[in-house]
Amino acid sequence: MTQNWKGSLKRVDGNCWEISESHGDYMRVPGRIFASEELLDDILSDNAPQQVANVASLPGIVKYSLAMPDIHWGYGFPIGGVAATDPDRGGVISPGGVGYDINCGVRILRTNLTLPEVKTKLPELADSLHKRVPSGVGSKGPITLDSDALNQALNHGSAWAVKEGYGWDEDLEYTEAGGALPGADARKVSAKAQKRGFNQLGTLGSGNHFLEIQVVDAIYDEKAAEAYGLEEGMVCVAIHSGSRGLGHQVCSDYLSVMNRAIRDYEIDLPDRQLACAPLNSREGRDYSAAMACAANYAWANRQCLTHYVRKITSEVFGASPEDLGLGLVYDVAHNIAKWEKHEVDGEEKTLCVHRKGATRSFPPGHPDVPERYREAGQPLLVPGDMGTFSYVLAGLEGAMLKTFGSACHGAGRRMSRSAAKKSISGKELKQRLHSQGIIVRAASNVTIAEEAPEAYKDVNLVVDATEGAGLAARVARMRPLAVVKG
Amino acid sequence: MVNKTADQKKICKNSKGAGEGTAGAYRIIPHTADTGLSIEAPSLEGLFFQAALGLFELLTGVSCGRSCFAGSGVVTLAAADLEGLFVDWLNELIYLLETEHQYTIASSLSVETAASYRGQTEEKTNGKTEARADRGVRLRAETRSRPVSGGPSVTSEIKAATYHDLRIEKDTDDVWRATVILDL
Repeated sequence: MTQNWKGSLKRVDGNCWEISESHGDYMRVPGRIFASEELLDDILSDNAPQQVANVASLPGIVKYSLAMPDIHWGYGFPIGGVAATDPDRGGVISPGGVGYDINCGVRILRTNLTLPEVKTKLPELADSLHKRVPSGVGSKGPITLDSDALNQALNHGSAWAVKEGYGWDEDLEYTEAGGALPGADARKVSAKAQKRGFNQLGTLGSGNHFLEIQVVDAIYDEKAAEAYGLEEGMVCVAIHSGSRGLGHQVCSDYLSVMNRAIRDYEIDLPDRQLACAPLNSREGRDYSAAMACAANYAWANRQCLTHYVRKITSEVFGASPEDLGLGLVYDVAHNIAKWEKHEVDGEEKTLCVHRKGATRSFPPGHPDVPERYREAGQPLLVPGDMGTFSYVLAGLEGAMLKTFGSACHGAGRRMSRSAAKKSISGKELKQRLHSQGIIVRAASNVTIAEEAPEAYKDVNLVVDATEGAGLAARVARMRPLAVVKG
Repeated sequence: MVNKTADQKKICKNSKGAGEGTAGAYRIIPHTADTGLSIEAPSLEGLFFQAALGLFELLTGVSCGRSCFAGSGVVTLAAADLEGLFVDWLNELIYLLETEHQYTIASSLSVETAASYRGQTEEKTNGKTEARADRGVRLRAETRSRPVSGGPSVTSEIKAATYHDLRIEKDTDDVWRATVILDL
């Protein structure tokens, strides 16, 4: 149930609000929501703040249960939730802190094309991408793996895909974690999850997953944009997808395991979707190894999608992907738990950082940022809705100080899918977007209605709050030209 | 008596004649990012039966009773407790959709509960999912199915049923009620 939060939140500063530990006796630390006053009404209108409080119950949680400016009601964690846990203080790992679509994430490819050069070809490109990149529920991809190949993909992620010819060597450098989490062990992935993974590489999925042709329409930081290889007027391609059915099954499998574990380890939680196990326990280690496999599968999937986007674009424009300059700007994960070093009360600690609908935001100089981008900071890719803008941001030191190196991952929903379907006509919306110069290709008008711009918060406000909180800074803004939805 | 909304009455009509174990009603409930089902039934089995019908409507946007399903099969599951079994049931139907490319509901099912807690599942390779529980909660369902290729098509991908805000309870009026949130 929703409740009146207005009196329960203490303003820390212009873009940060605190939920006191006294809100619930289960809270081990306070909650902190990073948002402007303008965003707060939407945030307080559903159960997301209660979920921030619930996450504060996790054993070993460090400092705060955090929420990014695009926070909205999820399950277990809120979407936009971040929590770091300390293995030395009984810290846990929670599948609900990663979600079902493990390593759902986004990447952007640049091109050396400008809008006038692509304008007449855009309908053909959108049609080809829609027709040839498999999407929808359980869609079968162009790649069928045997058991050995699947194990390789699970253990090695993007590197496996590139080795098989689905990408360029340099793609690995511009993918978070190099496109593979360490500690992956395919033996910890169930037969059911593996069965779901044999033929889904190179598939987009449905819901909010998409391919989008964009044009850079504003540059805010010339130096960082130059480092990222972005220029005003440049056409780019964004790819948003995840670990497909394999990841969903890994999460389901381990939620069952964790729901037994919380009884064995006597962990009391306000929401069973937060079920967890100590990082140092057998259950915690097993989930960590399986989650890494699913994360690697997602990176392999986005790598294969990249290959097909390059191939199709190359055919439409009659030039090689290299000649079109289809290099990877960056790839970021949205749903993941990672071991990272962070300073806590003056001491460097190795923590497990859960990001559920949140993006890593590492600042200039961080060793995990690719060398070419190190002076600028890590790129964050923040898709808006299909009618407005997307942003490329750069990580800031403030994120290390306040959010364990995390920031927003998108606009964030404000309207349920059923409400969107009831109030918006997919057909009319498609026409409206067309009149704005945006081509939309989707499996159905229902999907278009569900993903309508009105169903999302204003991404400009989300980015304002992210920047205002010092978590990341604007580098470039993209405008959609063509959107392909699953 | 189950207090039915207009939507529920429509769905109930589809299960007319299905028998005591399958009677009940479901209602789709809104959620900002995801979706949910609220179910009422005079029996525990009815909750599971209606949940499968509700899942089919969430996936396709079409409400349809068991007469729409022809194929047959068996699903057995075991879990630590009732909530786990309910989530596992819906997730098994999602698994069958993705791997067998078929919509599945129950034609008849039984749920056995035990006072003690401990469950374990295993999968056999004969095309059916089998399970074992030393103690805990078990389900055996005779299923009906229809291929996705024969329509209706899937309009919303559902990733999984979740434990968030999950409630299964028998009220003082002897009506079983469940709510479940599903990840889209």
